[in-house]
Amino acid sequence: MKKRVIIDCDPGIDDAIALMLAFASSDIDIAFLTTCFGNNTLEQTTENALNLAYLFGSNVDIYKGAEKPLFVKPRGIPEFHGINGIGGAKLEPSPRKIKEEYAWDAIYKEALACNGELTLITLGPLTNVAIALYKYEDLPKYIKEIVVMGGSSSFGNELPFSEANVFSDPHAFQTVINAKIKVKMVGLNATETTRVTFDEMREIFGVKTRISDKLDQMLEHYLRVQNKYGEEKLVIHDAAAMAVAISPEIAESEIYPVSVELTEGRMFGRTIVDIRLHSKAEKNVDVVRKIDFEAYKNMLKQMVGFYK
Amino acid sequence: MSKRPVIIDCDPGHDDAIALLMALASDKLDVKGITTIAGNNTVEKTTINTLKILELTGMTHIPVAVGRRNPLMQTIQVANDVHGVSGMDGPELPDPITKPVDLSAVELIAKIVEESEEKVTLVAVGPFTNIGVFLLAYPHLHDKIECISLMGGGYYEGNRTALSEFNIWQDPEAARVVMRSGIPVLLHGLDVTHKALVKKDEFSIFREEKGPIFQFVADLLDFFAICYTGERKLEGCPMHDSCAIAHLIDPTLFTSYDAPIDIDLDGTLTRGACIVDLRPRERRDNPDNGKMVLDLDRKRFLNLIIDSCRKIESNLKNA
Repeated sequence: MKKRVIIDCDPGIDDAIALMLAFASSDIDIAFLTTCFGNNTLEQTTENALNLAYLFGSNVDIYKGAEKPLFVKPRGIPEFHGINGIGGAKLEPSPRKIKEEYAWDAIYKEALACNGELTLITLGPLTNVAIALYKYEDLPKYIKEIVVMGGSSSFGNELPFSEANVFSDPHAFQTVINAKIKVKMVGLNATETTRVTFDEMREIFGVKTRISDKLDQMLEHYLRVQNKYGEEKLVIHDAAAMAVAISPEIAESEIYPVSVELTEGRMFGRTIVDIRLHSKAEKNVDVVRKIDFEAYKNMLKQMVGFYK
Repeated sequence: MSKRPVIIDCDPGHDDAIALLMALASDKLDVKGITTIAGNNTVEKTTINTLKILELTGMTHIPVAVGRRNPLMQTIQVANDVHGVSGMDGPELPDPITKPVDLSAVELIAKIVEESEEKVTLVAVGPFTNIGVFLLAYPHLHDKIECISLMGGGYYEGNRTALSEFNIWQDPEAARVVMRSGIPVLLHGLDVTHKALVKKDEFSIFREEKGPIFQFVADLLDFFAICYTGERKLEGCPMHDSCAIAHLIDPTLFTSYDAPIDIDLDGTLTRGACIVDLRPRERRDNPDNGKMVLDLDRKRFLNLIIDSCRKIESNLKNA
């Protein structure tokens, strides 16, 4: 049976590649997308989500969510994803409209309808899920699992240890942890194990498809910015998380006590993974440690082929 | 070859004791003085333990000075659960007959550094309180410090909290002073010290050698193992403090990374954690101030401990 999922995203170049994977996969059944601020403004990420779905040939509904973090000031738009959040790529406007309802209401309604079989996949800040949990206290029992691209058990990107999605709204991720939903954290420590070389990029994305021009444009921008920040090769964080959500068997993980630093400072938004053998803290988050690189690469390549 | 002048600030402490043996045995190090600090136990007890070790090894010519009773902003919380009520439970050594010098730890450090023709290396394997006060009180002597080799902190792991290690947890403010002094640091945190194990099945190596130094170490290991192979669930005893000494004797034993290193004072969950920036250089917003040590060659490290014991045994026989 296909896994029923909602994808919460903030496209975002890596979100775009993650969506490309998701729409091509026969293992998941996408209920709809929800959008959040993050890689750009809510308005821009929503427009991008709409047009990306159209590009990838999907009729999926899209619900708009939060335009800012729960309690802290927005950190501004990062340069990582270019002026329009997708590396300047101009997408054909979708004829479809955004749904009227809020993301959190749509998430709850779908969770009820799925009767405990719903998986959430989040690729941006966790604000929408947090608001859903605040508004609907019984939501946790209707969620099977939430797969989160966010956090890190080693180094960060925004700060020495803090990763952008959690850093953008740390309280939101702590809220998700507090809800005692089954959380799988695909953090930077894990996505960093999926960096591809330029040659591997060619091998994966080289085949000419109806989407390849747009993908090339986005990925070239993404690679350029990563290299500018001293990162070698290319990592597509959200795509790695999506690959894990689609095929959990490609990931090695272990459950640890995890909490988020919520006090402003150099550690703000750090996901604290308590690896002490003698820790008495509750083990609450399934932390992905490693992703099978070959399996990931093959999945990307195969899914690109879907768009021929 | 001239020996490297060092001052060791410590709070013995089982692993401190073994670290001291390594320093005293080494022909690479000239131990100019030992200062004590409250940490594993009160400064009174860590001082007694230091004197006992020097008397056992016949190295009573080395001056010992008593350090601060408490961290800069907190009060000391002794680790009876790890080191016992004496701070060094296990071995039975006679009460010391020697005494510490009249100077305070901070004054002794300053005196040695002032009088030294060469730059002096500081080693701190307890809370960094004395070193912090020395750095604050003697800014003109910073130039005469070669580097500071430390046991404390961690990149991935703490022990007292998820991210804060005992020595820094006791006195995060002092640790911040050390990290921000601009003097290069070698930071041996739990990432490496939990790999620096004497495994349980290796304790017999020490017990089977008959001399007093080997027996002393065997007794230390037996007691230390109660906590570490029990509640802490390790395969043996971590030689935390020995890493800070061994690195000065043979740097090739260790794998380390240049990085900006600071101490977090503000976090609710991260107070006392090390802020070590290992992101790509283009993202770092502070200059490197030292090396974060993350791995070691355990077998060669263990051999260095054994060789150190053997050397002191032979010195005692020849005395």
